[in-house]
Amino acid sequence: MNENQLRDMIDRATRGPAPTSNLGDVQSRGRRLRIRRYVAAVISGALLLLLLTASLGLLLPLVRDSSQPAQEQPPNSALVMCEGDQTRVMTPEVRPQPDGVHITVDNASDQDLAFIVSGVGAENAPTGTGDTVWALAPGPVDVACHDPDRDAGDAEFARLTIVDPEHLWTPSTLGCASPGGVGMEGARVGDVDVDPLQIAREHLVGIAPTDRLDAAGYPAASTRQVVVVRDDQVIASVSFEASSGSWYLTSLESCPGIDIRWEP
Amino acid sequence: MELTVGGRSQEFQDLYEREFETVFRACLLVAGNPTEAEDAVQEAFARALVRWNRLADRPYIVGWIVTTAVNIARRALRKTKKSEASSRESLNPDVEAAIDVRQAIRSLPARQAQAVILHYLLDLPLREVAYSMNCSEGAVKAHLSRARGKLVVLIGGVTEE
Repeated sequence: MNENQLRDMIDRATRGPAPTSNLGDVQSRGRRLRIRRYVAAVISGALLLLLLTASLGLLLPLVRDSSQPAQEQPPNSALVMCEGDQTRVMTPEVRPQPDGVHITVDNASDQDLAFIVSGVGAENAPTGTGDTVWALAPGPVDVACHDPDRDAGDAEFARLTIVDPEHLWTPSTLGCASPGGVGMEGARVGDVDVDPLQIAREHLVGIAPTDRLDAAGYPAASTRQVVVVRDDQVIASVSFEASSGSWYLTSLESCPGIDIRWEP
Repeated sequence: MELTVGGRSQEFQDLYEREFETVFRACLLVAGNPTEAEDAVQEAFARALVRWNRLADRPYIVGWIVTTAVNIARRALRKTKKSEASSRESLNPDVEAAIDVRQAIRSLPARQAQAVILHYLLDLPLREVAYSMNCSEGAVKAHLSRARGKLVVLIGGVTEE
């Protein structure tokens, strides 16, 4: 039996009538999920406030004294400890490097975990220590160590803040309320030694003569973005991912009414 | 559809209607019964709906939904410890074969089962499977290789092409 026959066996094992889809049920479940998360967030916030109040006291000034010495710069690599499903961010603030935000994940548990950056993605976190690099915009992110066999929605997140005093990050957020986008199925678009900006200039159509193309994100990251700027507003964004010596196109976003397309 | 923002509700609705049966079939491989499979499908789509603003532009979104649904189904099966065929004396050979395949896949470790479902049932290319599973293509190949080795023993006679 070859692999095609295995496919057939698996396919036959799932044949038969399927139930009728029920979008209303999905919506009801979604509402319940939202409520549970909101309640959990409120409780977590209240507990955190209680903890802060107890440890700092009610008489601490709310505004920092300007005569205090300047804060040391945050480290350029964050350290996150995974202890089972508990996540401890040992470096609450981190500076990015030119290729992105470096996070060292120390998995001291006895099982391989996943390291999740909320809203971005996840990496494997096997037992031991591993370094990961992320294209994260300055500001707060929530991270978690998590058992990959469990639903990521159950993860308990901890806060990490990216501080970018050297302005390495170029914003890529579109300047419109409801951007539309398509996944580009990972098409190979060029060798990794070619600047994605050049690749974008060669393949994007619908660019006006006065439009400007800028590299966004971190200047040396493995995931790059190129944005189209019109009248000082980002109207489109193209994402590339490097793998095995090539750039692969991963997504194209644009503002409503903007007809910018990718031509192979 | 009040849970989505910015007029993208039609995208979600189209995705749901288009992929419901595919995700159900994937869950059928790991769930205890069709009812649990359907429950896992609905729960996975609900979670996607809550996160739709972040997920909508993600490549290979179906892989994310299938992986989530399969995990939910596996967890439910562990809790209930049900078996779909407590008595197989009167089952016809085709149904028995289907049960054998499903039980074999259920017995695989989670990551191997995910890889098998995404690659062999959904026919996703390795790159897409890797993205959905948040791992490298090499890791996917390793999962598939180990899974095939176990399936040879469990359901018999699978060889490389």
